[in-house]
Amino acid sequence: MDFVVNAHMSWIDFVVIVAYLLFMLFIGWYVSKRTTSFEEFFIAGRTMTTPVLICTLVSTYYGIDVLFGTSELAYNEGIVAWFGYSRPTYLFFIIAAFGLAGRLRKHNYRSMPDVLEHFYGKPAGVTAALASFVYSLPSLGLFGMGKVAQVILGIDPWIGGAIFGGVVLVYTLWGGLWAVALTDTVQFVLMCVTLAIAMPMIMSHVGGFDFVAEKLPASYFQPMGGVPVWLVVVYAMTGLSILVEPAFYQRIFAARSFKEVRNALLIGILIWSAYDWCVTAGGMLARASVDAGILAAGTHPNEALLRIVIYALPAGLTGIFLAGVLAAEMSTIDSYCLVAGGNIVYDIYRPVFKPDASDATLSRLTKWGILLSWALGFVLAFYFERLLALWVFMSTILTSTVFVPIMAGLFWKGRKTKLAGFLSCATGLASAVAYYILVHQLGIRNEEYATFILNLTLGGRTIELWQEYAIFFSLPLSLAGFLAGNLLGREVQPPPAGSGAAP
Amino acid sequence: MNRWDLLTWISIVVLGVGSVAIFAFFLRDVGGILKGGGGKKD
Repeated sequence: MDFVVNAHMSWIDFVVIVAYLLFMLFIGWYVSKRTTSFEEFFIAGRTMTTPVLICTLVSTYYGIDVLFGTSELAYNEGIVAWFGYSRPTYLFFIIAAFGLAGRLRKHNYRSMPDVLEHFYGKPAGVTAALASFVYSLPSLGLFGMGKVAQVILGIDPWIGGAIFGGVVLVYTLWGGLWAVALTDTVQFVLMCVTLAIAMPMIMSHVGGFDFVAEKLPASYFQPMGGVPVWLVVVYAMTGLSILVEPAFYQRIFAARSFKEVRNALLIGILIWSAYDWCVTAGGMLARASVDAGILAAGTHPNEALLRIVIYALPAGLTGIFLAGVLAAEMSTIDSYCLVAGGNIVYDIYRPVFKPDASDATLSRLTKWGILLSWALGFVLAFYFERLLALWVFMSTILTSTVFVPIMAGLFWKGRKTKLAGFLSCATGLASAVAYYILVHQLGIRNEEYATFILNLTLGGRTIELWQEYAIFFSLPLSLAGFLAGNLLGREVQPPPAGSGAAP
Repeated sequence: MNRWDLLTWISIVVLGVGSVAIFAFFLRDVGGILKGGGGKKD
């Protein structure tokens, strides 16, 4: 990418950004004084109400993948970014609100792998924790943060990622989930308000959708666009990950009651859909601006939204918008650092090595886990160039591993065995990883979609296997693993309602 | 104004007004939360 320092930035912009960062640190420090137990640190003492849940849910899910990933898709393909990619996820949020949250609140779970440990024992819980850990590494957020820093300060992305990501790390270590949720709340307002201010300004500078229609092909206004239908199905299926999403589960467990979560999700869907559409519209306006010569011809699709906003906003407001972009990133990084840290300590170390670990030990080690996940995420952050592809890979790994056994645990009233849970997790994870390796090794790189495609000829017909299609194989294999384990294993009765994970 | 412009304006209003209203409700709750008043749990 070829970013340049924004010429419109004034000292006021820098003051706004520094003030914002200091305020985030203050919140972390303030909350650290009241965080006394592991439950307080990890799930906020189960006291979150609807407004704070809306803020933390919306801001956690919407980071780099939406701001730059969805706008990248809109830039390349048009409104399919909203109709084909974003909208199906709302359906999964509705399912989560009415079908899932209540069942998860029947037990005193603390994490997503806890649910699997409850139904199938330690092996399934630990396998799920591994997948959750990979999924939760904050690489996407740190990558985006570095790119934004490059725009703001003209420094190398990895230095910017280290500085801004370091602020996130500090307040997360200080205050745990309450620090995350309170900073998320400020970040939620910033990211929503700044986008709401930026959009009218972009439209007034470059024109509205009449201008877009004039510059872009008609396919940009087709709900399924020019994207291969199976790829749209894959994008929509990434929404499945919502039903097993570890940060989402953590907020369900942190809520004061089931109703608080349900209401937060229903109101959140309104905000998400508005945010998604603004980002989609911004991506399309950016593309039209490139075609009209308003933005440079070499603008990279995943930086287009940022460029058009900076072009349209006057000095002064630019700092607030960039603080909003940082906010979108930070609210995602903090949540997933906390989840990944918990995966290492609460979901792997505790059941495998120290079942009787004290509250203080869990809190202390979880902070080391957060540090480790941040460092690993940082190392991986700058290896990927197509954000949507990385997001699809991470959600595929998670969904392939835990979707079948969690849904079976929560909704299937029949026979369940420990072996079924473990085999389902293991076959789902192994097949998803194997599929990606196979397509990368034997397939051909497609430059248009920045992906790998393996062409298979069967009976005279050539079938294109995209790397993104992994889930079509891994989910059925995970189900097969569950059925085989259920047939071969010994039936277990999970502990009664009100308890947490299996001892 | 075409329908895509209209959708964009509706989204802008939802984002701007909605987020500020939610923040106002949050401010109402935050004092009690930070003092440890968790309230009724299910």
